[in-house]
Amino acid sequence: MRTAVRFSLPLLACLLVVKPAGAAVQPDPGNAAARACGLALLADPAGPLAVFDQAARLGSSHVAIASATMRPFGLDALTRTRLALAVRVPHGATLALGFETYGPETAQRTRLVAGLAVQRDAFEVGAAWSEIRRERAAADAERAGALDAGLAWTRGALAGAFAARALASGGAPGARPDPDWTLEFRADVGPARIHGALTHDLGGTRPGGGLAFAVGPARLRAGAFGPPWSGAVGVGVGARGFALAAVRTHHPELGAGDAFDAAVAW
Amino acid sequence: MLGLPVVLNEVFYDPAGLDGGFEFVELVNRTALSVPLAGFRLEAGDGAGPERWSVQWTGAAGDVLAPFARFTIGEGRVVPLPDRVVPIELENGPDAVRLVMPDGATDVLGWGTLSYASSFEGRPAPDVASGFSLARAVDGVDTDDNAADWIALSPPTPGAANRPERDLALVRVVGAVERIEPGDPFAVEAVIANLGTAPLYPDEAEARLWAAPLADEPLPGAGAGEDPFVPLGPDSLVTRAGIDALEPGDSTRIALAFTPPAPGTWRITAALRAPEDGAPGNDRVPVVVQVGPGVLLLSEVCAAPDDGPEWVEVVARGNVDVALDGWTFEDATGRRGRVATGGGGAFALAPDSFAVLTSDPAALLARHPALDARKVVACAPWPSLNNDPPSGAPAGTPAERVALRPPDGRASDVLELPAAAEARTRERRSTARPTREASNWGDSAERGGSPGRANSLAGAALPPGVVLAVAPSAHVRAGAGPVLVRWATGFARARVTLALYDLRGRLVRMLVDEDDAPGTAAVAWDGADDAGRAAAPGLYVVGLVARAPGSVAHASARAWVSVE
Repeated sequence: MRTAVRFSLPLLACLLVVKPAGAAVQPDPGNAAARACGLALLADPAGPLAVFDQAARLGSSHVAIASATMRPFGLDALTRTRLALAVRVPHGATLALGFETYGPETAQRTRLVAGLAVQRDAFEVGAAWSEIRRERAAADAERAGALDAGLAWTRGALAGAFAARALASGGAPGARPDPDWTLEFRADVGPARIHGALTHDLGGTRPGGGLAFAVGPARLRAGAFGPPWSGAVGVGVGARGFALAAVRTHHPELGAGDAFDAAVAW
Repeated sequence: MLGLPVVLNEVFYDPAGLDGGFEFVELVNRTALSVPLAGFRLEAGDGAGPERWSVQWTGAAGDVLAPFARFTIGEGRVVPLPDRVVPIELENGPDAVRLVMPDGATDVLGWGTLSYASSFEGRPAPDVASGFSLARAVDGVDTDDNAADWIALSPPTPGAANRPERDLALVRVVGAVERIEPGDPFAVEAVIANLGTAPLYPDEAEARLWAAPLADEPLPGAGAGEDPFVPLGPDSLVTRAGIDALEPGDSTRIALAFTPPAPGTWRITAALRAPEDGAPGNDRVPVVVQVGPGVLLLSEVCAAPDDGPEWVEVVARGNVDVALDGWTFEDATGRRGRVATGGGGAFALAPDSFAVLTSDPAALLARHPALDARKVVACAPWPSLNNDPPSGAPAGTPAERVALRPPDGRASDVLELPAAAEARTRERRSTARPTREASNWGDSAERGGSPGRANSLAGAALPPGVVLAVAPSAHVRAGAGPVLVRWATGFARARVTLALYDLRGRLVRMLVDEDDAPGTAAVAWDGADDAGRAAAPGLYVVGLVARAPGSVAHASARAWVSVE
């Protein structure tokens, strides 16, 4: 508990003193499984991809490599692609590096992120720093940096987490990402796993939630988040350090989008 | 006086315009015997005093009036030519005329306010308006009461019955418009009156529409009062409708419609077919209709300038140059400004090019320095344009109606304007779409408008299929003006929702949410959200959903926009 307090207090202090940049909107946090469960980041498996959204859950594998793509609203031009690597280092810590890109070529955003997470007892804490580059059609590219932090807790069938992105940021206003945070819980009930999450950014707070059922090595997921309320269904399979996940979301006006993840660890 | 064999029957004392040459007096023989007119005198009175009569005509030995026939005494420009052509001087104001027989008997007609009893019989007849004659209500019937016996008649009928036994008249057509779109019907109601003395029985008569296409160019050298329209072929009978029974004095309305088969100018004539009609002159009403656009279209109207004069932009369509000299620009009151291109001769507007009409070219060029002065044409007197509908007018009442007319007066283009937005012009989106479609017009995206160049709401043609495009670029820069979001759905009209969302799918700005929107159109986005705040830098998604009316068919599309 002391460990949790020691990490969470500075995180909360940052939340209180940091003023929003009023900057560009960035896509929702989370990868395929999280999107299938109402943007609950705990639904994504711990691993290197978490360095982009929940810096505390980098996993404990010796080495892990993962990639993810998300195509919101079926628009190829807005496709977000992620690639990440995580390595376990001494003292129960995991180091991760990630590269993300999204948006059309003339307005593309790239993000290089490095994160470190530590596991103590039931708690995981972590932080990540992102270097962001934003292309512009009629001017030079802009650059910015942002600090993310995360905290997760697990005890038996229950888990909770808090993740804050862009707790602090600097650089060109047009390149700085919106600050946002996600507060969530998870409970295992028999073969089902229940997720609930609150996602907050400059546009307000949005609730979300979902269910995941384990069927052998596969997991079936369904959830929703909003407003505007988007539904999602997903499927995942994982065994022996290998995992795949896919999801399809449906926005009431903008239609369907999809996301895919793949990870390997040893 | 009762019992006279010959009486006054019609008097025309106040022709329209100048009186000279058109005045006449008609006599009628009420008996079955010929009546020699030798010694008969026609005398004009003088309302200023009693028994002041001046002889206008005296019957000669050879003048004979056949049984029940008419005898006209009048001036040389009366048509048909009178039986006796003589100068006649009848006063327009209160006055009188009388027919004096050789035996001293008289028939007197007085009109207007007369003080002397010898100047009228019973009561004076009313003083009629210019262009009307005084005519016996029933030919030859004299009750010695001028007020009861005489009526105003137009047109005058020299040598013919005042009120024929059969006279079906087309009084007017209601609902005739100057301009329709191709495929639209030209629909009117013909107001038909039985002015004869005999009843009309069902299907004795017909109302008809005749139509003929007209040449694009008017008759060369047509002078004032001449018909400048040259038909390309004979009139064709295109619609006919039977007329029900109609008692004398009654009227009815008959709906007639015709859809011209081709664009261009058409002369459509409403006419009556009534056998043995005693007054065929009142049986036809021709209307000239422009079907589809003329050679010059309204492209942009500035009725509420922030600075400088009002102006209107016109665009030439078709394949030939349009000479602007003599064209007029007209407002709802009929006030017309005439284009005057100066002493340099004809100003010819090339196809698809613009000209800007205004009352003050210098002031307009000062307001729009980038405007090519060669495109600016003076138009005077300028018909000052209303910015708002009349106070108290029902919702939807247009603020103004403007028309563009070639020298021959036909309507090349007609536009109804809604209330004008301050410093925003009314812009046409496409010359390929009808002027009357409200969705083909919108407030300009540019403050002050775009005189002399392509409209801010216009753009290159969209490819076929469901299209959503952002122009001129999907990159929106602060202060660079609005972008145009254009769509094509494949539907003529549809329920259209067009909105801007952020990357998380939240609504930022509702751009269009209409139950009956055009399937292809455009809307400007000024870079603000629904609260009027500038959108933060970043990527956004434009979403279009169109649903066909009364159908499950729908179309949707998405596009991205980058705010920089």
